[in-house]
Amino acid sequence: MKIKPSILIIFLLILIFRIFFIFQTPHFGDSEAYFTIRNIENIIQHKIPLFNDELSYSGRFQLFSPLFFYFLAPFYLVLGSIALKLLPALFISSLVFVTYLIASKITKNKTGVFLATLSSAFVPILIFKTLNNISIYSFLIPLIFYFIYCLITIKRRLNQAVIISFILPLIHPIALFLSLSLVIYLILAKSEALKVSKLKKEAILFFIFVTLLVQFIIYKKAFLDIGIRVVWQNIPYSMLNNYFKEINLIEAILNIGALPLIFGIYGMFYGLFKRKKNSIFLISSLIITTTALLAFKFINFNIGLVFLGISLAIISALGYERLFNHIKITKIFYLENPLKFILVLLIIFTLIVPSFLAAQKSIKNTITNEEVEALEWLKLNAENNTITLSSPEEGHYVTQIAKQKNVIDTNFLFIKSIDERYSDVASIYTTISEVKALQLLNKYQVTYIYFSERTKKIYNITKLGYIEDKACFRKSYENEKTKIYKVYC
Amino acid sequence: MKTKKQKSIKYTVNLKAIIFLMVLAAIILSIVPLVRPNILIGSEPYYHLRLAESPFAKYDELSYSGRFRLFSAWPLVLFSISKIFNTSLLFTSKILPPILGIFSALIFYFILRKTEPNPLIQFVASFILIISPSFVYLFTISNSHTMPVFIGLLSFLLILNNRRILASLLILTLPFFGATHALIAGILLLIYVLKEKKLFYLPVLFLLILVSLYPVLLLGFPETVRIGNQSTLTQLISDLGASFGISIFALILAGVGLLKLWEKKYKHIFFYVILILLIIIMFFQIKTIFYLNLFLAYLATLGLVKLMEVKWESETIQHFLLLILFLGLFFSTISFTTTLTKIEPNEEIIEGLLYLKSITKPTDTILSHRSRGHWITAIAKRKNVIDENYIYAPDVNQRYADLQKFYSLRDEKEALKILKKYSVTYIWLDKAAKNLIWDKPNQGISFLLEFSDKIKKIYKHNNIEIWEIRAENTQNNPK
Repeated sequence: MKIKPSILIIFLLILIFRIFFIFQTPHFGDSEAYFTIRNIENIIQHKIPLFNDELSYSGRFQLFSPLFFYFLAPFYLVLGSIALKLLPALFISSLVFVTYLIASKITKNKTGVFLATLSSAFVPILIFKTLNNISIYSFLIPLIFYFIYCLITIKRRLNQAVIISFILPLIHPIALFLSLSLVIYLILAKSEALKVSKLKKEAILFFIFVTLLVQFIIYKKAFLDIGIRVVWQNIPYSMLNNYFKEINLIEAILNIGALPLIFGIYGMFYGLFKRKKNSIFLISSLIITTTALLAFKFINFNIGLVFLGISLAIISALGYERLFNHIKITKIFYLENPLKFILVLLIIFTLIVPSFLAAQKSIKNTITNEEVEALEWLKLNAENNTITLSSPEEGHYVTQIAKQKNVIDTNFLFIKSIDERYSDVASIYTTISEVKALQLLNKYQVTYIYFSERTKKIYNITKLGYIEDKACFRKSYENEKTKIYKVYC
Repeated sequence: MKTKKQKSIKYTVNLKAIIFLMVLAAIILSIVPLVRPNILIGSEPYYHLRLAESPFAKYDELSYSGRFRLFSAWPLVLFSISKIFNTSLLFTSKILPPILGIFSALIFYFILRKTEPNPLIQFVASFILIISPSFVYLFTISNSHTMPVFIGLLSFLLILNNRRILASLLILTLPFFGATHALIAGILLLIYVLKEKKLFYLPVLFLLILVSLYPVLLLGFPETVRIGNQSTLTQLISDLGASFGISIFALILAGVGLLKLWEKKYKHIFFYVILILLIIIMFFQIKTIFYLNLFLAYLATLGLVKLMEVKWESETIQHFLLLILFLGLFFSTISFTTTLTKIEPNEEIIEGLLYLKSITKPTDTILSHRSRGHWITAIAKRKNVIDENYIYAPDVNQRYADLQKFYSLRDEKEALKILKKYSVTYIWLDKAAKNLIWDKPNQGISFLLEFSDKIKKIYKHNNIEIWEIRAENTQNNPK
């Protein structure tokens, strides 16, 4: 398929946009990026990822699909951290081509396709979630939507669909979410008497089957250990509840984009009840599934919004087409071209500008040089086998940068009594009782307490309430953004 | 009329199939004994090993600190074989199940040759049976189901070959291995009688019931046991961690096979009835899986055949799907066999039990988790409070309840009362046992055990701990 120059321009635009921001800092945005780097380094050194991690939770077994780390390892070996900055940006930017291909199947209206593609590139939550992170979603999201495109054009892309059916479940359990949406698609198609080719059905059933089997094989131990909580990756209940409490509906809409939301919903309803095309049904089922999973809190909120935003952006092509077709047959038909221009401006104001702000926010949230300095001090000065307390969100900084054992990080799967541990860590930071703090610090055998500006924000505190007792706590390191205390009792 | 050449080709193909199946069974069933040459797997083999030392004894002094011993033929088989071939009981326990497994696989193949016309199905069903986790467990680990399944298969083959007397005699030995085997044999025999109208076996059925009822007539019905909280799903599926179970891949294929069978509707009604009855019995006695597995292997093969027969739009998808299912069957076997090699006891546990034996008297009673009961009696040669042989065990539910209460106590006085009730003189716990009893450290009695001066820790090595009860009046009190 020939790619239009306009789409190439959008791709270059988003790529340059991303590169502009990611090279504003030498560090990575999310602490999980550092977990990725640790695994890659371990693969380079020992040929295997960190299934048995001596540092995380002071020593634990963890389970994940290592395909992503193996893929990045050779690039990291050759190009270093630059590869880890560039590759995700390149992959997520390539989503533009995929959304263009899908939108082209939904509608023949070129302007509609262009606007949909442009919208999908600048979904604010997508920028926030994937910018400057070695996020697996940078690879997953284009792959998932490409798989949907393969299903739409199944006769020509059967082999590719089969290959992706194996790769996707091996990379991430989100393949289960896609399986569910495909089931919804089949149900929708049946209920609306839409003909689905036998080949497509076979491809879909094959994908669902492989996904279930692969996830079963990889995660059966987790399922046996923690039961249904594996669906939520064993995230502590209080963290899960707090997260959904903080949702602001207006903010959620702004994160998706008002324009894709309006035109996407209209396009979806029109497509489901009037147009009745397989491509529309596939994207619509993705929207319906994501909405349902978000409503029942079965999916990470930001990730849900990402999928919602991209899907709505794609299907908004149909909404735009309907608008232009409608304008053409009215008296104001001459406003068609100015309208296109206005829509582009609206996209700039409702998507590109918020994306810019989201990008700035993401870079601002990146670990600072001061924090890195503090962690490097810890690496050089802490005794062997000591344990450092930090918030879960900073846990991976402690293991990767400081190379110290932590008490908690964001890999919650397989950790027994995670709610108790999470609550204990929060108590240590927020309590004013030295006795309680010491009891908990001794429980986890903590030697150092890492206390940064980030920690203060997370726990909404300005200082540790018991730190004045110099007999038990002494400041070992301090800079503008971070303090490290040593526990002597 | 087959020509000589056709007969010769058929004979060669059959011989190759037989040799292949025997070699496959030999390889798969010898992996675990080779990896663990000196230690048996799990606790049940140790129970049979101990009983085999005196197979005709009517009273067991050690289990539950003394109980009536119901005759079980498997220890007698172990005893007899070891005497005939002059081998140790341990060696016999390791070698006899795989040998029976090889012959069972062969008998299964011969049964299919009599009942199933398609040679491919005969071969593949036998293949699937041999690599199934249930089969591997059954014929790797010395257990009370090994011999009955073998006898059951042999009897059925003899019935098909019209060797009525021999078949009947073999069937009548089944009750001596346990009531479940008699029940299953009875059901299968009844269905066969109804289907084939072979009334000769009716008296055999009658005798089977009579012999099976003997323990009930003698001792009454056993207490209904209310122990164990594992969900049926995790006990059923080997890939979900069941000690013996069915591969999920086999289950999927069997489901497809059932659809294929259903194409002929009620022609296979007896097959469906057998399946349903076995599934019902399985909810009461999970080890019925070993019998169910024989039928599932056949169904799984039909499932494979159906998937090959269906017209697919994409041959690529068809081939990949079949490949995945086939590889999945192997994966289940490999995964299960690997798990089997890691099942306790290990050398640390054996060492701990032998130490326990050296520091205690033969009259001492040891308290531990019920899953350790047979090790305490067989390796340490000491009395236990509870083990997993629940049938006709004295006050089994009361004991279980008392021990559950004991584990959760923080009151030393209450704890000592329970210890006194069962005349416990020592407590023996390994790390895995502690994880079975408590979710977290320092829960319940585990906290007390660290600080009590009436229950003193006397041994701590390699994750094994032994405590001695030093309170008055707990020793040598008859229960």
